[in-house]
This record gives sequence, structure tokens and C-alpha cells, in this order.
Amino acid sequence: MSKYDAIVIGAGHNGLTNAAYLAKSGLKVLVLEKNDYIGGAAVSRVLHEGWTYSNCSYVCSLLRPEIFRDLNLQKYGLQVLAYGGSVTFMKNGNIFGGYSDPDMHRREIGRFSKRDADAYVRFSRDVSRQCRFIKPMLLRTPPDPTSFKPKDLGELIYLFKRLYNLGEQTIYDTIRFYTMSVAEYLEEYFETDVIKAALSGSGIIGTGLGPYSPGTAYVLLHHYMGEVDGSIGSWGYARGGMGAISNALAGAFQAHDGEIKKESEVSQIIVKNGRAKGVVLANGDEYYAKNIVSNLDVKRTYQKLFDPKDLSKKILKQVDNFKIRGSSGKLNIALDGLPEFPALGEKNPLIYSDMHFIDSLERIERAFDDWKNGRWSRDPYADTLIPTMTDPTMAPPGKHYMSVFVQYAPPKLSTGEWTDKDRDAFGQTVIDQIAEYSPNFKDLIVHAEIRSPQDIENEIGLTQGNIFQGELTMDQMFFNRPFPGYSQFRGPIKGFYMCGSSTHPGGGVMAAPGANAAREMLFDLKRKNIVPEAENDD
Amino acid sequence: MTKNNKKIVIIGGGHNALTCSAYLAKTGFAVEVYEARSKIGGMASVREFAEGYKAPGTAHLLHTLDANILKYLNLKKHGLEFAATGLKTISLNPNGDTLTIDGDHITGEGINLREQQEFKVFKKKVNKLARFFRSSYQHSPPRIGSGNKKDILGLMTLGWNLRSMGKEDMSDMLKFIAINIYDLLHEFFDDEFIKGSLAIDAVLGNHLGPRSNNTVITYLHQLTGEIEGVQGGYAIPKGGMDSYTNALKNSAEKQGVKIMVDSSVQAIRLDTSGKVCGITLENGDEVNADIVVSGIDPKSTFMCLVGPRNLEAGFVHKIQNIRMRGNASKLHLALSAIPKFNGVDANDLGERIIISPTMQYLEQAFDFTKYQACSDQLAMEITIPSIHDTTLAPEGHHVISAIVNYTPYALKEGWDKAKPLVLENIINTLNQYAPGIKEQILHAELLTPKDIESEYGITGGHWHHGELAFDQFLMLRPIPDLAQYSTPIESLYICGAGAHPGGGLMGIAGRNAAVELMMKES
Repeated sequence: MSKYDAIVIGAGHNGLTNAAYLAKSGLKVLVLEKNDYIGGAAVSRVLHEGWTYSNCSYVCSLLRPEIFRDLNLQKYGLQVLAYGGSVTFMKNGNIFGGYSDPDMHRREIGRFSKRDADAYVRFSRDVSRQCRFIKPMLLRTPPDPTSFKPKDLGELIYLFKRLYNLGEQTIYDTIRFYTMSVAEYLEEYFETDVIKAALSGSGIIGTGLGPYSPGTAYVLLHHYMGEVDGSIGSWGYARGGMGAISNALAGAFQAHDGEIKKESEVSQIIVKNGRAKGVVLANGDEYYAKNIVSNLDVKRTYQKLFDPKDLSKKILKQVDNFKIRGSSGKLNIALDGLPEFPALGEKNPLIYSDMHFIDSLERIERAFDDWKNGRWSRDPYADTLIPTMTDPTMAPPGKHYMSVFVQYAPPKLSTGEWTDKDRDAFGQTVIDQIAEYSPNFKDLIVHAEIRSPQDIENEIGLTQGNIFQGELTMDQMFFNRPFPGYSQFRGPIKGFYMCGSSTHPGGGVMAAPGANAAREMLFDLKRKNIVPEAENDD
Repeated sequence: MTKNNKKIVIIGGGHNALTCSAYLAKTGFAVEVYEARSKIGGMASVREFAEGYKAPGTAHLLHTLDANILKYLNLKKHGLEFAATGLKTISLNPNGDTLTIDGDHITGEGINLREQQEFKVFKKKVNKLARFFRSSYQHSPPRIGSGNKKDILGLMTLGWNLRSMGKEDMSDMLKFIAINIYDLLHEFFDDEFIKGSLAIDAVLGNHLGPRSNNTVITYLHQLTGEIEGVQGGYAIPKGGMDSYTNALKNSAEKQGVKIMVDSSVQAIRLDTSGKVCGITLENGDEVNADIVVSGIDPKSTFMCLVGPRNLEAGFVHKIQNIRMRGNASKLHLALSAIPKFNGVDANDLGERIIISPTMQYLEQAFDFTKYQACSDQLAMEITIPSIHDTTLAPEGHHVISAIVNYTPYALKEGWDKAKPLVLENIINTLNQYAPGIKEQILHAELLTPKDIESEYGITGGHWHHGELAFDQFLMLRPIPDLAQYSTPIESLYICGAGAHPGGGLMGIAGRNAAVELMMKES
């Protein structure tokens, strides 16, 4: 059997990015994927004739532009289409629009409160400042603060310098941003509840925390780092669905003679004499390589792929304590036509935008309380988009595809595991909420795929269905991600690496963890670094 | 002894203000203290809530006292005596089980050897981490990015102290301060009752549930003190909390501090250049001073006494955003006899008794407060001080002093309407654990955060003069501009619990403020 330089377990977007860089450097790389399609959670799937669903992740904007350009993803078919804005439907029949044009947006806020319109200027300035601070770090390896190695000390000094350059007041704001709750952070700026609710959504998506939980302000930042065509905070679709990202990455990988094997589920990592040597597939096949990289999350990797004998007690405990909480569900709906939203009026461009149906912080916090108590939110936060308004290739002419990301749904219900009945009831809750604002919505539904966190775990292997491969809280960020001592993509066993969203800087279809891991591997293999650095846009 | 002829006025006669005054007078400043109430001590004083029945006004246990202050001010010589030290904690379970925590030892029905071992490991770890907090409490916190030599040195010391804890403890420190007590306890224990019994210490007095991040900070904070050589040990002073504040008062007066009671301050006066020049009392009297130190909370200090018109708009905005929504009430009961608690030995009634059976119990009670409501199942820290001090109640009678958590300052239906019902719920809860206590009650008083606000003048009725949370901690407490006890107003300082390192009868804020002031003003 032929021997590889590296085997990547899992063909998610990070695994493919990692593999693409290793192959580009001239290594012989094999990617093993358990499903009969690649992409992990960045996929385009036809589950109902004529419709293409981005059935897991659904928007693309955190994807690092440096990687996009460096791997020439455009050449391999990736096209990003920008869409703008958001809208919040209110109980009282009013709407709050979030326009991408800053002047329009300020006028819209002014409709609710003049004071908030002024505050918004300060808010977006402060958030942009934080985004600029964080961006270069996305494509760098976090230093180990307990180490005295020159590389770590150098990186620490670099960090301090950058922090120092922010100036005293901004440093304090930074600390506050990383530790406060999104609700309290927003309350410092705004007085209108619907505005706070609309902005807080970014702080809870994918997270097992409520808007009043300290630590959520950072999650907002994580979602604001998006960049499409150079404008901060704007979002886009991958044309043809999120699978286009994975396919383009696979294209780049294969152009450098990379090899992908589908339907090849890895069941164990072979460790001999304290070194990772290869993998065993579920069907018994074995593949050998000098380096093994896991794109799977921390829990799956260490608890399922390793023989516990090969790992220290301490690692097993750290893995056990790693927080990876499923909190989101997803609905993918095929529609016979465009649903009407009377509150929007005719020809309102907000129909192209991100729609939400929850208009106060209290309602969102209560949605979180339901999750804490082991049930899906009765009044959920539904991040609803109609991608076909921007990208008509995803449905037959005149028909539409709606993607609804739902916060919160627990991985396990207080009544036990999810049943088919539970899943239907969960889907109905979401559909009812949307139908409250769109009278013809229910009649237009041709097909609906309802996914609980458990479904997400079963299908794509994200533990508990957590979309970030681990909570994005301070204790699991930067040099603590996934856990202290292993934030530099190396595992506890020689020749073993991690490259999924469980590692720095976390999830969100950024492709940064995969690229970062490749950089560290090339360093260990004493090869020239070919992974791009972040570009400064100051 | 006088080497400094500057006159200092201190606003408020709480324990931090008194500590500050004693330190300042000791270095030769002429110091006057103005207290609004008719006795000193603020929240740490004894209160006669019904004729013949006295209880500690709010704080009822000493446990974060700073050993250095105790020694430097000679408090023992000035009358501080302990009626009881090294109190055990007895946790009650609705099923009648109890759990006893004594230092690093935990016992109770169903507690096995492995859990006892785990508890020792846990205690050792948190005590060590809390000692790092303690070391950072001893000075005013360094500013980051000021370029000032002293601050850089301070930051390096902080970094060095962190590193010298060792690789593992340093990693744990960096991880733990960001998480919540719920997750932390899950890492160490399986038993829900143990976890519930420990988690209450992280949330008492704060607007936090066990699942809120920041609760490890609050947990470690209450372990920073040391009494009679026991870290985080609980003590009851002889004669109630008055013994502590009177010792401070005596020590201060011995240094020449003049203490004025019934002297409510109405305003801090500024001269035309914007520098402090004195205060105005409520009765209209004006007192001149070179320096003013405020021992009351930062919101009252700046919004009421200085006034927003004398301050920069951005600063006012930050002051307004200080989070200080009180969540704890104080319950006082006069009892006709000694109560009986299920599962608690009669000899153990003088210990610290808590009602917090599970973390879920706490979290659910907290959830109510998020929506300005009050659960009928509340968490409590109960003491029966009359066991240690017979002067508090007539012979044979007793008083209960309890801190009741999760009674929010802002209640949707308003406290006036809700108070009788909340009190009834609390008594019913107590009766569940101490059957028959209901019939023993002669008088009952509930001091809600609203009452605490009006009685002791603390905005929001918050025990710590502001939430203890990462974003209001160290150089961010109460806001970055005030972290080093000096303020944007020349010669105005703050020394209350709103400043670093926060509340808990430590007196450290008062001491640190005095040290900072001496450096700046002499």
C-alpha cells in the first residue's frame, strides 16, 4: 500500500484547506471522508428535485480573503454574491430594517430613536476598531503564555505591541468586549429594544449562551469580522450553495495532485512508539502516513479515533471538559413561490436580507431559558434567508429556497433523545413563527428538511451538532483553544495535528484553522511556509 | 507627628472609609469623616429591627478580612474580638440530608471517600488561585498602555505573579476566570448536592446565576481573605459587626480622626478651576477641605454629589453604565425559641447554614430575576447570631439573620406590592427546612435591595457597590478612569467597595486609596 506524507481525516472546508496547502508545498496528501460527498458542513445538497440546499452552513463571509486569493478559488468555481441588510419583524406590525447603506441605516434607527441613531455611529466605529485588531490574528498561531520558547515570547511581544498601539481607552474597551454579555454591551449604546434585539442576534448564533450571558459580546464580534468585497460586516452567498466553497478547495487540492477518498470512514488512528503512523478505516483498510491531521472536532477525535491507552489521563480529562454544546437547528424549505410579508410592503429590498421575527432581548433570553431546560425554544430566534433572491440557481425558475437557522435547540431533550415527532413539532414551531408574518407562507411549502442538533451530529459528525466545533467563549479561545497547551495545532502525539474549527480561531467557514495548521506542519517538516499572512487593511 | 497640613474630608463612615481615614491620619493628615446615619459602620453595623431584638444590619459574617490591615491598625487592641471563628458550613437539602463543609473537609450522607478526596483537590486549587487574586489586591491596579513607569512595573509584577504560579496553575487561572462556576464544578464533582452547596458562594450578592460567566471570579474573590490563619474562614465578631467597625473607629480616632455622625453630605464643592474645595452638608453647612475622599458608591458620588454638569459627557456615560443592580435581601426574624433545622444537630445551629441544594435551583431562581420577578424558591445564607451573642435577644429568644439571594432591585410589580408575598415565600421555604419555625416568629423584617438603597445610600442596593465581573474588575473597576482611586476631579478620590478590589468587608479599597492619595498629595 502506498505511503503518504499526510492523511487528513475529514473533507470539511478546513480539512480541504489544510490538504490544499500541504499538497501545494509538494507533499503527497490523502483526504479521507466518511460521507459520499465532500464538504462536511459546507455543502450544497439536492434533497428535493430541482432545489439545492445549503443545508448546514448557509452564508459565506468569514472565509479569509487571503486564502480565497492565494488558492485561486475563483478559478475552481467559487463565486461570492453579496447580499445586504437585515430586517426584524415586530409584534406590533412594524419592522426594523438594517440597511447596508450607512445613511439609510441611520435614518431607519432614527425612526425609533434619534439618540440611538447617534449611538450607532459610535457603535459601528468601536466594533470596526475591534475587528481590525483581531483580523491579523486569525491567520497567526497563538503563543503559549506559559512557555519560554523564543517563538512564543516573540509572539507574545507582538501581541502586546499591537494591544499597546490601540491606546489606553481602547485596550479597556477590548477587555470589556471580550468579557461582557452582548445585551449589556448594547445597552451601553442603545435604548430601543428592537434595535438591541436585532443587533444581539450575532452574539448568540451557534452558541449555548443567552444574550445576557457574559462572553456573548465576543461572539457578535466573531460574526462581524465578515468581509465581502472589502466591506466590514457584510455577508455573502456562495453561488450554487456552500458546497461551492468545498468544491473549489477540493479543486485547488486536486490541482496539486491531492487525492480524496469518499465513503472512507476512519475508525482509528494507529499509534506506534508514541508516533501517529496511519489510520484504520471502518472497513478494515489501513493507510499509512508520516503525519495525520484530524479535521474532526476535539471530542470526536480524541474520544473516538484514539485508543485511550495512547493518551494521557490529563488529555482525556481536558477533552472531557471541552465545551461543545449543540444549540442550533436548521430548516431548509423549498417554496413554490415568493412568500408575502405584508409588513415589508411591495418591492422592499429587505426581502433580499436576513429576516428575524423576535423583537426584544427578553424574548431571546427566554428562548435561551427553554434551551437550558432541555427543550427547543417555543419562541425561537430564526435567522431566515431566501438565498434564491440573490442566487436563482438554487431553485427552479420562479420558485424559492428558504434557509432558516434556529437558535435554540438542545442536543438532547429533557424527555430524552429526539424523536421524529419532536423534530416535526420543532419544525412546526418555526414555521408557525414565520407564518405569523407571512400569511401565504405555509401554502407555498413544497418540501422542508428539518434538522435537530442530533441530526447534524449523526450526519456530519459535529459533536452535539455544535456548529463551531466548540463554544466560542474566552476559556476556549486563542491560546485556550481547544485547551491550554495544545493551541498550536499539534496534538499530544508526534506526527498528529488538529485542523478543524476546534482550533484557533474557531468556526464560521473561515478556512483559517486549516491554513494555520498547515503552517505549523510545514514548520515542523522544515519546509518553506507558503500559507499567507493576514493582510492589513488599516 | 503632623508632617502634612492638608485637610481631608471623607464622605461616609463605612468600614472602607474608616480604614482609609485611619491610614491617612497615621501619616499626618488632618482627617474628618462625615456619616449620614446616626451611627458609623454603614452596612457593617448592628440594627435593632424590633424592640429588644438586634441583628447585623446587612453583612453578618466576616470572612474576607485582610490580615495586613488587621495588624497595621491594631484592630484587636482596639476592641475587635471574635465570638466564633472557623465556622462550618451546613448545607440543607429538602429531603432532610445535610452536608457539612469544614475547611477542606466535606462530610454528609452519601459522601464517599473519593468525593472527599476530590473536594480536597478542589479546595487546594481554588485557594491557590485565590491567593493570586489576593496578591493583586494589595496595590492599586496598574493601568495598561499609560506608558507610566509605575504602571509598567505593576503589570510586570502581575505577569510575574501569574507565571510563578507554575505552568499548570497559570493555565488554569487563565481558563477559569473566563468560565462559570457551573462548568468549573462539573469538572470536579458529580454530586449535585455538593455542587449546589458550593455554587452559592459564587452568586451571593451578585446578579449572576451559576451558569453566568464571571462566577469563578466571584467565587475566588470570597476566598481571598484570611481569619485567624484560615483562608476564606468565616467568623462572627463579638458584639456583632459593630465590634469590627468600632475597632476601626477607635483606631482612627486614636490617630486624631474626627468623626461626625448625622451629617449627610449634599454636594462636593469645586472651585473655579475645577479642583475640589470642600463639601456642603444637608443642613447647609459648608466644610472646606483640600482633599475629599468618597467612601460611598461611585454613582452616588458623581451623579449626586459632584453633579453631571461638572463632568465630561463621556465620563458621565461610563458612570451611568456601571452595573450595580442589587439582588440580595436581608431577612431578620425574632424567634421565641431556638429553631430546629432538619438534619442539623442542636450544637451546630451556630454555624453557617445554607439553602442551595442544587445549581439548577440557583439557576432557576436567577432566571426569574432576569425578568424582574422573584422566584418562590430562593437561596439563603442563614446565621443565628444570638447563639454567639446573648445581648441580641431577650433570654431564651433568638434572632435569625439571613441573606436571601435572587430578590432583584427592580421588580416589575414594585416592591411595595410584592414585599409581603416575597417575605411569606421566604418564610415558607424556611419552614420547609425548619418545620415549626413559622410559629416561633415574633417579628420579621425583610430589607430588599430597594430598602438597602434608601437605608444605606447605596445605588441599586448592591452589596459590592457594583457587580463584581471581569469588565468591572482590576483596572476596570469601577470604570477605567477611576481604577486608581483618583478621579478626573483634582483632589477627589474614591475609597469605597465600588473601587478595586470590591466589597466583602475587606477594607482593602480604603487602605489602597489612602496609599495612592499619600503618593499623589504629599
